[in-house]
Amino acid sequence: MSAAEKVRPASAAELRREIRRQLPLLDPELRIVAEDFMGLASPIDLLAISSRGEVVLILLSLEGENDAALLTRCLAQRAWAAPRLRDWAQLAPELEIAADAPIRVILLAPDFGSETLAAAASLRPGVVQLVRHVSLRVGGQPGLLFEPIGDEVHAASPRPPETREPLRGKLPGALPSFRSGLSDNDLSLKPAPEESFDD
Amino acid sequence: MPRDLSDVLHYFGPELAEPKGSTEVFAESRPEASELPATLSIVSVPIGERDVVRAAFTWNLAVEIARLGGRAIVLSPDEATPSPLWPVAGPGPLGVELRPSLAKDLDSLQEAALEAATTQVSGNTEGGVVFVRIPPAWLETSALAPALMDWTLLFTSSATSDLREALKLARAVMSKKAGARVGVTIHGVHCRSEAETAFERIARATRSKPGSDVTSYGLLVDDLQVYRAIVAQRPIGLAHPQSPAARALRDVAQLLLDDERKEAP
Repeated sequence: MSAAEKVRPASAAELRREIRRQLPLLDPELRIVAEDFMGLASPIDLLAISSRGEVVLILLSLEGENDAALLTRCLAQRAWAAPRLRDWAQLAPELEIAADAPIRVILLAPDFGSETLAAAASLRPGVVQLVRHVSLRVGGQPGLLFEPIGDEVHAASPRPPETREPLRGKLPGALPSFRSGLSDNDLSLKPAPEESFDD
Repeated sequence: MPRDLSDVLHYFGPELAEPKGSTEVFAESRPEASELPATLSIVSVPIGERDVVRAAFTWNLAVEIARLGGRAIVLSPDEATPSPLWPVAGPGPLGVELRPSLAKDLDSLQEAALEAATTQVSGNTEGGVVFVRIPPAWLETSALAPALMDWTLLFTSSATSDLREALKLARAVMSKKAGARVGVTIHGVHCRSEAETAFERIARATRSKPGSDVTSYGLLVDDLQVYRAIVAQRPIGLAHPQSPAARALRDVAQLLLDDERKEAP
């Protein structure tokens, strides 16, 4: 039996390659459609589309990089991408992007500090998923372990509104979807604290 | 046809944003003239006699549709001349026309709307919308006016009382025409999730009757610019194009135009 050895990825490119290869382990519904492209002032590592057409931004950091800065960057990139979804959907219809679905972000880092965990927990559930990654070499072959920590961050949180119903309103019996290409950032709005609107 | 999103992402890079904005990209991807509608679509909007806020939303949406390349008319049966709801009648900014009507009921208003939708089409290759103000009380009459009931847009805040009022109007329209498209725009929200939740509430409530789904037309922000625009009678999209209110109006206008073009013969 081969021993597993923890290693440090040589570069972000190598890590991206491994993530692409092992993406089904992270989320089998995702497919990568773009890699290392310029977003708002910095590159977005990977852009994926879920089977429901949601756009998912994947940002990663290596050992020693600032995970809190990664969280800030991911929110900025999400705000940058939101108003562009409709154009992307028109320009690349074969990707079947659900332009009215909120953008998800997955952050991959070797570890997350308590400040990052607390900040992520204060966001609406479903917006940011934190995942620890561990690079391994098993029998000479590279490997990657994912450890999603979203559940512990949002352990007691209700499901976000955008995941209560099918996102594209195409499933039989589903309520029609809310449509807007705008985020709170676009409108300079500050989300109110979570509260019930039920009758 | 781009095969991969990375083929088109350069359009959106910050370094290219100024010389080649998303509007231009969208313009390039517009359908050919032959694919565009032969007449304008009629969108009915229930607006009371003194409802200046909904009237302002409607007029500003018309201007946004014009900014997006469509044609827009606002048709309104008004008791008083000039109406306190609208700016001066006639052609206005970007060719948006405010057309008062002498119609006294749904049937005569329908006639005026159909005339506006067809006469305006002369020389028009971009499609567009005739917004028709319907006094809410007219929806309670027995007149059917099917052309006015095809597509309705309701503005409601997220307050329960407003949602109930919108629900009542939605049901009135749906009772006049099976399969009517009833759009809902949530205004006055403090965050997107508030609009999502409000829309979900009204969608769930209308669902209580089979075959009666509402359609989301986004959200509007009641920021200061809306009220300034009402007072100044200047469209927000032209006076304050970067304001949150203008962005939200543009998003709703885009949804309307997208659907209008999707339905085009």
